[in-house]
Amino acid sequence: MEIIISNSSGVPIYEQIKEQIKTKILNGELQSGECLPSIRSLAKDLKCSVITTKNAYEELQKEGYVTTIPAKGFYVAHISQELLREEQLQKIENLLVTSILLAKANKISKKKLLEIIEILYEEDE
Amino acid sequence: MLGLIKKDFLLLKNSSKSYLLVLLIYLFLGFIGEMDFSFILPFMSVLLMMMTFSYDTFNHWDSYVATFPKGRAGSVRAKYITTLILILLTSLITFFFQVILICIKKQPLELVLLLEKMLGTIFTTITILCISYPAIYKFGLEKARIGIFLVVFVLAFAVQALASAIDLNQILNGLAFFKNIWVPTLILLSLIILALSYFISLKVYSKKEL
Amino acid sequence: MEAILEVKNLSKKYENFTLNNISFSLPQGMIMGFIGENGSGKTTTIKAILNLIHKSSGEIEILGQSQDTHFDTVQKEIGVVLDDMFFPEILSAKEIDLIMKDTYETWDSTYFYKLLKEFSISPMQQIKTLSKGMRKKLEIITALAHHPKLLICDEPTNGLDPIARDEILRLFQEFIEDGTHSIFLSSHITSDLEHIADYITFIHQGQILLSKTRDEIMDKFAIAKCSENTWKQINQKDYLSYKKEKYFYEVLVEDKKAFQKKYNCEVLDTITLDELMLLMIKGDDLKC
Repeated sequence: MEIIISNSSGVPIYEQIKEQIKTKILNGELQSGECLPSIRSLAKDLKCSVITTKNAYEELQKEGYVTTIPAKGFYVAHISQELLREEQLQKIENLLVTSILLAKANKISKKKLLEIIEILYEEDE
Repeated sequence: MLGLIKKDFLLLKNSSKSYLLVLLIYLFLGFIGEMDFSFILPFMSVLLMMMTFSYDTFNHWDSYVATFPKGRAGSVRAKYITTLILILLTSLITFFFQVILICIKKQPLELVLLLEKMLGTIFTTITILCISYPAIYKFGLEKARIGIFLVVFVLAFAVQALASAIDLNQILNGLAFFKNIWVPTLILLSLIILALSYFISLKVYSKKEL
Repeated sequence: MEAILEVKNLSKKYENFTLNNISFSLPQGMIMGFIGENGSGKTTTIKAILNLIHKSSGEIEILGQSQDTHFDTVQKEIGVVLDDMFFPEILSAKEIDLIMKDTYETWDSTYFYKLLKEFSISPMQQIKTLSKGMRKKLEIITALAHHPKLLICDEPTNGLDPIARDEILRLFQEFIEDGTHSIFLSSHITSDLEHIADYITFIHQGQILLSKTRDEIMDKFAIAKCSENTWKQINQKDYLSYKKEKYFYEVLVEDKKAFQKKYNCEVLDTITLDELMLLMIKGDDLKC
């Protein structure tokens, strides 16, 4: 497993760790039930604070990607299809918001936007 | 505390060259001359111990050792014990050396006199120790040095003046019983001033800001 | 998480300097970086914790025990690395081992020699012949070799080249890895702390300006740089401190996200500890 942190990207380190582990879980690089490195060993190997890795794991746990067994550690949770779909829908939504804002700013109507989506959707097939 | 005793011995060992030189000079002088140098070695040992104080200050060892478990008390105790060991050791060496010298020179061997001289030397050096150490702990070596020197000088002068002004033997003959017990008295006195000095040093050092 | 070091309202009065109501808390298994400029009171605080100087008032608890009554029992659990305070330099590492064996019950000669070897320090060499970096490493190794629970360091990486610093920071991270050991270290090399510290406590002129987790500072604090016009719109409540420079205004912001939503500043950067220190010390209108 590779985790690469940027110290100067402006994105908090715990978020970078969280996103990278999330990606690996979603694309199957990390399997369900797989054991993740401990908070402390991860902090040591990434040369960051223990609180940072703890935050990252806690967020992943909150979002349902990771479970913890007391005194044993953190494990990749069983990812339901629902969770995967949720994640993808969220991503699409975010991208669409960008497009909509741009359209509004340039006075492009909703009708025109929907037309464009129709054409592009057909195209890829 | 044993570790701290080791530390001073290791310090002395690592800087013992000057000591060896004095030792050689002493041996040489003792061999060729008639004068009494029996006080030199024990006296040197106290001076060398003062040198360890100087090393301690230079490296801020005082602050460092105070962070050890029982550091402050252990440090004081170790200093006193090391100094006493040195004084006794050097006095014994001196004693044996004098015996050998006398035998080589085929002079009359007055063991009792020699022993008395050794005891006198031990007592004197212990007294110097007892005056010096609390002063060093309180004022630091630099400031204490001058004071100690003055005190020792004055004391030596006073004793000398006293000895020449009064005929000691006359007094001692008058106090016949005292002559028999002056050895144990001296030993007792030594222990008392040692204890006093030690407790003063402990008290001073435990309060000191490092 | 239990606090391994707890300082409450520590004060120490000197003629020319006062340590005033210092309070902070270091949980077990963490590293706290203690930052401040020279003369801010870092060393004084550390000396007070170690009982080298007597505090004027306040309470210090180490490993749950009061420093006033139980310091003797916790002393053996503390490893100390102080600036320029060590064994007499005519001694060697081997002699240090001989001395420490009979000083600390938990002294581990095997571990000591292992670390010496790892850092290429010859046991027979006198301390005075070691380079500055080697000497610092030896001081740290000596502090670690009796397996203390708490390591207290005053400027441990001061004057060291980046490589030596990296090796030492690595040692520190290994030390806390099992979660039962903690480190309290003062430094003005803030870049070291930005990486490994879990908590940052900032002292200035004898007072604590802030004590937070490193993440809170690095992720939430920010420096906004803006024009005079933008500056005029900023509400006093939304910043901690600011500085008027020749071509722009520099603003220290405590909540990056909130600030970003509210104002449209030309630049909003992640902060470095150096900038934090500078703005808090040299800035105008500091509110803490």
